[in-house]
Amino acid sequence: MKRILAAALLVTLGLCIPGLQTSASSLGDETIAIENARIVTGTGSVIDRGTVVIVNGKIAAVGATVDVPSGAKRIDATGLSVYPGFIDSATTLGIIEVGSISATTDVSEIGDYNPQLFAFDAYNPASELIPAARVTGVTSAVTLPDGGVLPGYAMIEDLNGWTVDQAFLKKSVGLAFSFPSGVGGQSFDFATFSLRTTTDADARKTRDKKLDEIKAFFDDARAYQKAVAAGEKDPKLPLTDTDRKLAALQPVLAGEQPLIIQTNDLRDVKKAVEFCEQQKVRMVLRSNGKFGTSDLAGVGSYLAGKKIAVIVGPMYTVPDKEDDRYDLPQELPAALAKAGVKFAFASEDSAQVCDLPFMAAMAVAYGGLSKDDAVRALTVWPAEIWGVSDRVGSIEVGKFANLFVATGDPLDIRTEVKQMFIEGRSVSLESRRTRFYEEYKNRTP
Amino acid sequence: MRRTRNIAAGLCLIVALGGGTTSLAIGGQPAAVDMQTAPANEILIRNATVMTMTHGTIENGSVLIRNGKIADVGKDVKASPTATVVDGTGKFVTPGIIDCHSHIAIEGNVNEGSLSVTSMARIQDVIDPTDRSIFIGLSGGVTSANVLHGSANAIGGQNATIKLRWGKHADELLFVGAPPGIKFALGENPKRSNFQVQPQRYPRTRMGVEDTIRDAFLRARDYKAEWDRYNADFKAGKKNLVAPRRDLELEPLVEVLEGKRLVHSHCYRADEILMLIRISKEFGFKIATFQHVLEGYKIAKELAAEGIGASTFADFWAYKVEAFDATPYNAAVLWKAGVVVSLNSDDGERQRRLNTDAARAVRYGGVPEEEALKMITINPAKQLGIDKWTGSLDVGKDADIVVWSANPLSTYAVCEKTYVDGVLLFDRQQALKDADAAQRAAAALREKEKSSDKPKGDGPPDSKPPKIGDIDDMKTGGDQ
Repeated sequence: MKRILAAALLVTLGLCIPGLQTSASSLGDETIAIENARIVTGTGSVIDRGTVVIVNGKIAAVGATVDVPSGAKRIDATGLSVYPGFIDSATTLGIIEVGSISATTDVSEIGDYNPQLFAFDAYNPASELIPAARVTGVTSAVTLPDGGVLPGYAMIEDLNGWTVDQAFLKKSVGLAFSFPSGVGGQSFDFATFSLRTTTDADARKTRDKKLDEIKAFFDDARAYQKAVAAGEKDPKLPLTDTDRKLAALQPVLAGEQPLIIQTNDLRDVKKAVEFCEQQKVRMVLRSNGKFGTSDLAGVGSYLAGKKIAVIVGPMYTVPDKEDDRYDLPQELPAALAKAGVKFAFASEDSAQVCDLPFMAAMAVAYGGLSKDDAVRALTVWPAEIWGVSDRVGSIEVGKFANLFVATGDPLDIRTEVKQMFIEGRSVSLESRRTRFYEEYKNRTP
Repeated sequence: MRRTRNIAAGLCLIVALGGGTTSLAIGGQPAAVDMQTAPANEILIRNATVMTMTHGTIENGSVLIRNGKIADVGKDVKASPTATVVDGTGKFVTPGIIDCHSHIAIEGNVNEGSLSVTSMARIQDVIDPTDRSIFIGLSGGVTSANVLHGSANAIGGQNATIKLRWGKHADELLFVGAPPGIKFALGENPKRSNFQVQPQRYPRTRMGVEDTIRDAFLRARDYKAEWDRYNADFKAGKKNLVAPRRDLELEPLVEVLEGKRLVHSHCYRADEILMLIRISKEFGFKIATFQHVLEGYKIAKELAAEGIGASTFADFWAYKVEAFDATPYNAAVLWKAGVVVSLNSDDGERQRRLNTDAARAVRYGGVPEEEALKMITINPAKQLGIDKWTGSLDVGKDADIVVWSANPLSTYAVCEKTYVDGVLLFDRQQALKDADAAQRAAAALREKEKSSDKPKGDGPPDSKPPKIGDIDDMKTGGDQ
């Protein structure tokens, strides 16, 4: 009811909240059969030698023995493996091209409170980084804005499409939220070019002040919704001026969109959970794996108890504390899996998205995460977390044909990705980087 | 460090008094520090896949360590009955990894960013042997590193080649015998393209970078001429000679001119690389390595013809304009052209997965596996002039050895043991145990504090301050 009300409200206000729309997809129209392949479905089952049939961009059949429609383009994948396309759950793809050049970055707006912003609106489908991201098997990514407290809504897209409308899977999957930290420490202050030490007590004080401000913003959004709804019912009431920021918070307040909360220390995580419980809003945790404790089992059971999904990344990190186990961040995914927490990997980058499967391998190598769970955290789990599992995340009948053919285990760097399909279309594995290679490798004179 | 300085100062004094025909003292790495810390016992790593880097891979092979050196390598290796035996069944053994571009173990900032030429600044004076990055490096099999200044200045400062002797004093980390070197930098960083540092500083263009380096070498050449004349006059027995005033900025550049100091130049674009080659030819010095050299693939044949080494990233790009033409195929193209290629980390975290960076050279461009592993072992050793001592599993070399759980080119491989000079400085199981013990001890202390009467404070923050500029951080004026 709340959901319908919020939607109706926004329509009345003439505000386009992209999350409420669904993909006007650009599904392929070829009929393709990939035969004799080892098929890793992503759901845990593996077909040692089977066929995937793609019809109109979707998976029409998958199995050891399936009928191949006449006229299908047949691909013999003997000795090769087929995997569902990998999903990178936190990137700046499409909104950062060259990090150091502000003219090419559209990631961070002025101001702390910008829920009215959408990565969707700045996404550049012609970014040179998108084809480069695909080469290791990544077919979808979440693109998040950054900066301030509420920098805007993230979207999830397939890494193909001439326009953003062709690319997106869901125009918004959650509102990014940089949760204020109540944990002290040392940080580098660029204003004075010196180290600044903050005690826990000072950090908590600053955090609480900021949280009051944030709560007030949420209260304002609720009051705004009430005022607009009341005005709808009673035309005699004074008109309420449109407020894009407060209107944009409604999908979160209505539980339609989660807050994607970026915070690390477990004390901050608990505070964030408390905040979301008080506000009755959903949350997805976005963590670099540094919880400020080596008790990962405890972290896992806490998050499992609260049923919080976690975006983990990047794996390229070392522990903060000198006495921590040297591979503590790499041990986290296995601990989460053991506790039953749903999690997904993220590169937290735009140029190094192609490293995503290798990051997952680190969690296998150091933490003992099972290879199956590593693949799940690159496919079905992120699809479920972001609410797109009806279309992507596994090789199952009815889903988009987002998949790739590889020479072996795609988590091993030496494995080659031979072919990739996104929404049933064969996509190029060439990029700016392969073009330069081809151009110069046989330079004459 | 004081001891080293005194040695250097002593040498310089002799020169200043006109006591020799050598023109100048080499401000290089000390040779006088006693480094014999290796145990006298034997360690036998047996029944492993031994990847020697210089004479192939030996299945079911063994490596014998004696007195910190490699005493034997092969299928049939005899050890004394008292030798410590490490079962290598199912394991892979490689030489220690050498990171040819690193900023670990440096106290404070890596850039003396005040001037455009800071050849007088020396890394060896600011080695921090307590930097945990040393341990992180060991945990990824790194045993030696080329520790460099940042890239803020066209001529940065004197680098230090170190061994990751975790637990030793600063002086003891220095790689004895390693040729001295100096860091140059071209392109966006010395011209401060990505920084809003005030006040503005010359150079601001690639023209200015060229001019800054040329000017420094012209001054160095004049300075050398003064000394050469003085030394000749001294030798000829002329009386009442006045020695030229020592110039600590120009001395290292004179050493470059005399071929006594290696030049390691940070660079990205093909044109700026060729520019430095022109300068080097004009002044008659040799460049040891181009660092980063992300557009090296565009001029592979020129680099091969000059015999200059390339030390690059396996796959890292697009963080700035001069890194936008980068391709992970760079290493493969350079290798095929005949350039000695190494893969470096430039980072306290990336250093511990250089083995998987070698695997990237296999993936992107099809470099054979052994050649890829050479890019993190014997090749950087050659580039740093330390291949006499390390970089391969050869009898007589330092026992810098890594034991891996699987083929180190696999993403699933984990470094299990790292030996430096035959000393086991990293053992995965022990490291995890030690960390757990430290956690328990800390928890016990917290319990004790809880139960005591004294009011609870917040205590000092427990994380180590971030090291400024030792990672790829544009904002801190670090490197990359």
